[in-house]
Amino acid sequence: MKIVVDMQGVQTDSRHRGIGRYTRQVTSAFLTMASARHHVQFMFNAALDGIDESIEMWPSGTGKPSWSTYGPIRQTSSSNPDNAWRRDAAERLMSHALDTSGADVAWQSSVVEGFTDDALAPSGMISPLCVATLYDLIPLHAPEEMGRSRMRDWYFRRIASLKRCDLLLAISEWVRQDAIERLGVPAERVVAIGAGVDARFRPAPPDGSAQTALRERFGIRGAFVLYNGGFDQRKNVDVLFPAFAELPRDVRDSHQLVIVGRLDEGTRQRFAAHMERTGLHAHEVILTDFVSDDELVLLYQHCDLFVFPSQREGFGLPPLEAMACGAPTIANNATSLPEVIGDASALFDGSSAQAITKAMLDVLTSTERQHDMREAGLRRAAMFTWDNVAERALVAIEHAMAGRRPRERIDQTPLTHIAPIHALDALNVSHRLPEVRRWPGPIHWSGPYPTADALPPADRYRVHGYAGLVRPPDMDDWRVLLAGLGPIVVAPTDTIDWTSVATHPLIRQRLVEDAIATNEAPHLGDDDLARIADALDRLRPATARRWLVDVTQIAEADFGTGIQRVARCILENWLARPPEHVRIEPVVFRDGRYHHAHAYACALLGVPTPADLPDDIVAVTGNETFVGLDWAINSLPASAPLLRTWRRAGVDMHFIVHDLLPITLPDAFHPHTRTSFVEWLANAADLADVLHCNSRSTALDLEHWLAARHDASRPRVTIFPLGVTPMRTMKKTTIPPYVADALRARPSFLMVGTLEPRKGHAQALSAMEILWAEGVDANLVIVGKRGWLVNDLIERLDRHTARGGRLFWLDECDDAMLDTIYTASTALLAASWGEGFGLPLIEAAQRGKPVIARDLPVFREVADAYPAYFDADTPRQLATFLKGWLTSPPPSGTLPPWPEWATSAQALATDILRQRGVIQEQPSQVVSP
Amino acid sequence: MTGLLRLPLRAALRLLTKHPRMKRWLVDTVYRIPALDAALRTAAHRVSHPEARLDVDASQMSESSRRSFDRMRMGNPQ
Repeated sequence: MKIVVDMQGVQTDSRHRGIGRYTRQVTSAFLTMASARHHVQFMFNAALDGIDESIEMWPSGTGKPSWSTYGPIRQTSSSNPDNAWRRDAAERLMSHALDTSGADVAWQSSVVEGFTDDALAPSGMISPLCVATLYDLIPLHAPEEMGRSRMRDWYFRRIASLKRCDLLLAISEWVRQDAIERLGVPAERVVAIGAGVDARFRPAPPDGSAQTALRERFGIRGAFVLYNGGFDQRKNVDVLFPAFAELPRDVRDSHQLVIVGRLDEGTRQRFAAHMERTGLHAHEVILTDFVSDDELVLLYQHCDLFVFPSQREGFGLPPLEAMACGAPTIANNATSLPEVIGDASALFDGSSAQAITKAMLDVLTSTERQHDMREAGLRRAAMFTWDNVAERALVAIEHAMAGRRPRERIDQTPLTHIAPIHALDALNVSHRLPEVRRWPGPIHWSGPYPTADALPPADRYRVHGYAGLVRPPDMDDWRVLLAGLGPIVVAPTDTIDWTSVATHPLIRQRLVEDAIATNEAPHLGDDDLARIADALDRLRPATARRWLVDVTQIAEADFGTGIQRVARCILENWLARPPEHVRIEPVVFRDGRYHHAHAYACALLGVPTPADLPDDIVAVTGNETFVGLDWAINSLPASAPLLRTWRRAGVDMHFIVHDLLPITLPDAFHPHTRTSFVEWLANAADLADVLHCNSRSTALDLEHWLAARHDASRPRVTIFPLGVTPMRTMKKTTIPPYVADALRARPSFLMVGTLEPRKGHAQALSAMEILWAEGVDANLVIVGKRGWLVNDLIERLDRHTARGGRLFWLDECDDAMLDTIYTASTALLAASWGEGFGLPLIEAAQRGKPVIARDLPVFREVADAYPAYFDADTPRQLATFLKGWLTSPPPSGTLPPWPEWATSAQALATDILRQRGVIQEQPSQVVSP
Repeated sequence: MTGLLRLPLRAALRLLTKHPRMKRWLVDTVYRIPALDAALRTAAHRVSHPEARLDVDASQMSESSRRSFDRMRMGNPQ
């Protein structure tokens, strides 16, 4: 059974109050309890806050809970008459979201929301079993307090929503009875599930420091009587002033009255008037205003008596919390409070100040009575657990499902009116397709399908993604394409089974579109209708999971850097051979939104871009994975707010971290680059579910950086192996004759990589100068473009007397020329002070060339025992090492196996799929849990 | 909404929060004039909930959403 929980109870301002706390606790316990037997999914309103907090609070150990969103449709609150049409359309959208979620049960965490916020309630009946938590019907007890106007109308609309529910989960037996009486709901449709108390409400540990804390924070001198809660009329707090004032003088002198709760100016003045009237002095009454949860626990733990005179409560959480903290507790004998207190002797008549005085006096003057009440209260509170609440809810839902009869389609709109029948065959299908797309309806097909190669490239992409552009057409392609546009029927048109037709996602969408077109669309502006249309369209279930691969930087300019080479090689493999049931979609961030990058993807695959495929904006459904494959240092800070909304919509987030060099070697980068890099990494870490590194060294650097942030929620860090392009036989190109002559004449050390400070060119050049001065005859060949912060090095190279003789710098060198130079050189010199990977080591080793490398962990990881490692802080030390190497070259160690790019791409894909639970086994290289 | 208007409106909302009776009187009075009620509530909403910029608009939609939009604007195929 699939149970969808509408989470608006933790999204509106209610999330700061009892409803939010109740919803959080009961859904967490329910998830833990029910997920073994049922599929529990949470659904959020994207127009409201609170999604991030909810995602973070779910219990660990239940795997990644699934959730979805609908909208956002903003400005729907019922308080504003201008919102009416927008709200009505949005509520149709919400109903459609629940109908198409595949849920058997839709549980609304809080129906009575949406007056001053953008919370919604389903419009009319929905297909799943409709369940709602019922907190109370207190406004129906005093309807005059609602005044006139919109609030009353709104409240009664919400009451109508509650009445439509198949099952109400009341938070107390009193609320259950109230619902039966006031709503006329049959008794079997309302079940009392109760409430629980959070584990942090517990008795005080034996520690004397609390008295000091209470005195310093609140001015509490000694013993005190406590009240906690709201101050509206039904809370009946005003009666506490005369009740406390009537206590005997000696009792009053030895106790203070402490009133906890958020105070506004009006309430403060009202309390001041009561104190004056009853003769209470300022030192006798303490108004704390708002207190933190920790402070509240402290107050509960150390009060001599907790008193709760409220006249109407749906449950009464404060007395339960007080009892759980060991406070003797008395309460009004009204509504749900006797259920909570469970002891008739601890109840009083809240309408009588004298009765409250007597009840307080009984407790405050008897140590024995206080002790007994503490013990009884603790026993009583222990019965109220969230696990019990969740279990009662689950049993009630399962029972209601067992007795449920299938609901007939409520919308009686004749389908023929909105879904025209398209009579198609092989001859007319091509020119009729645009009309079918515009007005989806049953497709009445006659005869055989056209040949597969007649399917235009754009439609091959629509059926199979980019892989469809490079693989042979399939005979089934036409059928798959048409089935996505409407239900295919072969029976005569007058015998079409319209019930079956109505199950097609597009026809269901048409039903909602038609209702909105008839009722709300004429009153909505274009932008409002666009948001409704977009939200509606995104609710249609996707046929395959999409991986949105960010190629913003590389699609704009491919500089051929090592990072871009990694991005390109992995993407090429994914496009041609996507993981099973996955569609790869390269996307670019432009004009504030992500767009499809069809042209770039087709160029990578070497196929023409289909003419009628627009680079339109990417609309997410929640069935996507975002992969930050490229290093989007410039675009991520701008796109992060949009990606945050995607994450809330259920999009998984993955980023590749190629290195942390701007952080680990700050002097080797411009200050601006360092700042930008940290901003990029911080955004990636905030957004990501998983950060993927290509070496253990980078992963460890990343772990240290993440640990230093002290962020409560840290993404997982994993490692995938980088690929290596297999050695290809390249056509040898000519290199400048003076370089070729020098390479033949003497041993040559080759350095490959952009000229930047961390590459160690300066130290290598100084070491060579020492060798040349000592008469060692050897070349230094540097291949690489000019980078940053290397003005001094460039000047040295340009003016060097050995330039062109034994020193060479080739800044324009294609792959073929580099291959020739590798072959002609004696050894690769990898003098870098820091690297993310170290591709030249592999390139040299593949050609059988010895490698002399600085002893970096990442080089050991990449090349293992193959290179001769040096550890040189000074040019002299490096020169000594090189001289020794030339005199007696050590044999190269064993070559580690390196995967090809296809293997690398597959390993990364496997790690990404694992996050979704598609692959169950533990990853082989997880750095953090 | 300009900052010039936002500040006094925010102050007025704060004042009403502190004086529930005055707020109730205002609500019940303005309720009789729906256009004024709507205008004031829209302005109040903008003060406390600045307009988000992450939503789609009619000029920027995906191909599929655009079709849904057109269908709702046009009504039905007949």
